[in-house]
Amino acid sequence: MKNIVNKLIVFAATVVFLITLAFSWTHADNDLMPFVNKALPEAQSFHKIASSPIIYEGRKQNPDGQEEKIGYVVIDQASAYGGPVEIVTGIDLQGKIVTAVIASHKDTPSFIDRLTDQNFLERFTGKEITDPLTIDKDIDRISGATFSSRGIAKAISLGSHAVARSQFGMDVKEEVGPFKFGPKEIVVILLLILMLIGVVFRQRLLRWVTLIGSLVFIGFVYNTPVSLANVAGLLMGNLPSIRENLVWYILLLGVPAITLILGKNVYCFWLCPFGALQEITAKIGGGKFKCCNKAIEAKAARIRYALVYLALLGAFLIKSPSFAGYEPFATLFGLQGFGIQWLILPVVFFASFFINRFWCRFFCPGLLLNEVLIRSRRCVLEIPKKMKVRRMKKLSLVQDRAPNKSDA
Amino acid sequence: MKNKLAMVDVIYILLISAVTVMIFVNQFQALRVVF
Repeated sequence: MKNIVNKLIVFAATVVFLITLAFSWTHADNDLMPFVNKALPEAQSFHKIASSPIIYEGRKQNPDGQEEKIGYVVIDQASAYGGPVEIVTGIDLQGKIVTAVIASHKDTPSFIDRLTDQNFLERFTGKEITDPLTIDKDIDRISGATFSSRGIAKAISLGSHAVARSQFGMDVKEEVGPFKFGPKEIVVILLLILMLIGVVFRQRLLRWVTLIGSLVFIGFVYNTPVSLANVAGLLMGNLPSIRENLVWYILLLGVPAITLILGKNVYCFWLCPFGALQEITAKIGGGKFKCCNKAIEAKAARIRYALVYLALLGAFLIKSPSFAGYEPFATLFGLQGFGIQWLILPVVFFASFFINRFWCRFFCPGLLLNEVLIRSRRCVLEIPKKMKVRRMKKLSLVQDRAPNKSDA
Repeated sequence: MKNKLAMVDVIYILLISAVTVMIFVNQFQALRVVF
């Protein structure tokens, strides 16, 4: 009876998960008019003149009482960190950007706060609609919010160029950014190669080299550890440009592929920067504090399942992948966080001195997701064996039932 | 020795519960920011 109830619960949970995932793929028509008004505040009315991208003509009554055109508002979007960012850009009749406003985004709020605190959108005011409007070309990036600033710049650039072509008759070509392959990509690939050598040839010393390298580079220098927010983004179909985010593809697709091939959790024990930090603190503090009641420890380890499930469900329902990122990684490596995140980090950090890999064992989605991958691999590999056993059983049954020739 | 062992279990449970509650509070705070 208990078995049936458990199976029903798992089935219901799976159905709910798939329904909310499907919901996250739907597109809601946001009311964008408040943002359109903000983008061209002098206009008194707006008339839609194009659909792809959406372009409005802003009009105002002149002293004669007649409506005259005073500018345009374009709505366009581009990929940022957690998903698409939608920008509403106001343009005057001289072909200059008046205002740019963020209508919606899927990024972690602290990244967007960083942009607004440094008046990032004001950098576009006065720019020509034929300008490239590209990060590191004519627009400075915001340190610590590179992907968000790139996505916003791209959205403004696409919208402005569309207005330049359709309303001003200008010939503006979209710039295809170069394939970004710099120190960050080289370091991550190097760590991956060292990890592969270490796993395949069982070189335990290399594990410490990759862990420390990951803590320094993937953690503190580049702040790009894998988070459940990235997984939520992947499931929701928010794929960033591979030209600009090769590391994302290496860590989110390449490493799981290696896990599936080798049947070993290579990310958590060889590449995770937070895991590396916990192993170092456990070495210092001993890390030998263990719960004497194994049943309590086993039950506590199930908390991860609930956390991951609810975090993903929440992310799908509010269509914001960053909601799923409950890990304290950004707080530690990027010094970005709000509210109680600044308390979670020190508590987990302190506990990791005495309990080996405290975060990993009870809260980390990474360990859980890798377990799912390895279990799935095992199930798939066992299919041919099970089929062979079934065939052997059928054969022996048939042989048992066949009449004995001597009896006949 | 038995009491010492039980103390260890209590600390373990309190620590895990505290972090779990903090994570849930964090998620509610994140929801408030969104809405």
